[in-house]
Amino acid sequence: MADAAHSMVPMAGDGPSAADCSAFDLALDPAVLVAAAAGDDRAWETLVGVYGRRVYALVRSRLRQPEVAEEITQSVFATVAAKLTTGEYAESGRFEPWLFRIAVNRVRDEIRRQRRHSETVDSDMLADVAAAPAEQVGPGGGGGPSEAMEGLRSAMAELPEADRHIVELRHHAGLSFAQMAELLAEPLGTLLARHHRALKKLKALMEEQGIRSVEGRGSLGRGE
Amino acid sequence: MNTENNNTNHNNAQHDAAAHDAAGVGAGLDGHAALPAELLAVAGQLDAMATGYRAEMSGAAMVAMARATRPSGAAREGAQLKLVGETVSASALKVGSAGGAGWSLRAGVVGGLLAMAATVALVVAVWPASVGSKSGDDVAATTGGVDAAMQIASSVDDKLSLDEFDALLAEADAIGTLNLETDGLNAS
Repeated sequence: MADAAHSMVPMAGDGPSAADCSAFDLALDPAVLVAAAAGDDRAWETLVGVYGRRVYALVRSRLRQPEVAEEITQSVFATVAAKLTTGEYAESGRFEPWLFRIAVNRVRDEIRRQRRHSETVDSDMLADVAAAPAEQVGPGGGGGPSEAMEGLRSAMAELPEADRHIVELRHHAGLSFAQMAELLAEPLGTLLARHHRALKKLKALMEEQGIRSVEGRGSLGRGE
Repeated sequence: MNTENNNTNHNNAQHDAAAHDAAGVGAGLDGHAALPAELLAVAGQLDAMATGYRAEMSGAAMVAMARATRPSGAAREGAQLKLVGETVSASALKVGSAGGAGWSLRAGVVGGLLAMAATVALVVAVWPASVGSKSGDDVAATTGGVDAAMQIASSVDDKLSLDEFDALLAEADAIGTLNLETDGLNAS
């Protein structure tokens, strides 16, 4: 395992810092992937450090319970580890689409499982869940910003499935459009247009709820 | 018919490409800079949401997850699981809901239990006469220990409470003791 490869990317424990993680700036040195596949634990920690939070964010976007999202994220990496070990994935520069395809499939499985389970859930329990305060179901619990974030979350839930998928892959998983095109097997131009349309729909939904942008990027406020 | 569909798809793609060009989306593929201002704001809010989600994962949790899922461990645990004859996914090694550093600890403990169970199961299978020469209580305890391990293997798909986990750990102590005694018998 080349030490140089380790030095180029953060280890699992110290980064990428969640607050300023710009997914588009992070790329895994192929040498790290090869070393991880060969059983290098340090390389594996590096790999998890680069992708762990991105996978979690994608999963968490759909599964509102953080502990379930953590479990699914871990299961994604367990699957990746197993497939790397058995040579089911050979490094060819397409690791990210492959990784996130596993994550997407795992999320779908979990949603199906929860739907099946929910058919037998007592209606009182569902009422309790619906009444749960926002801080129990998402980051930034508490006052106005949390309420606005919850509004954005609600708007996301109202997006058509295909649009939501595009938005989540782009913003939560942090995939490039080229990677999304590979994952979804769709032309790049189509994805760009779909992303554009999805954001417009999301904006319209947020406006219906009275949520507006305050500073343009990253801030939310309740509309007048 | 297929030709018509292909043409339709192609035309749609052209239309889509034209739409994003007209909207000014196409200039930058991997940043948000090319988005119109009104959508840039929405994109920023989505990024903020993603940042919030990512911040939920602590550094310690990341390290624990890396250790619990590492390929070298997965191969070892896979072999153990095969030996006990139960199908348990590697993800199921996360037992309980303590999260964080608890992951690797619990995964390690369960892995250890399965290893012990595998050893006992092999010993029982290969040297039944030796085990049978011990007292009836010990043989029964051996069987109980294997059963306990099998219970762990079959139940880790469901989250165990801490109390349940502690109870299983207590049973695992019995496995360890019997394993050592059986090893002693074999040596003699």
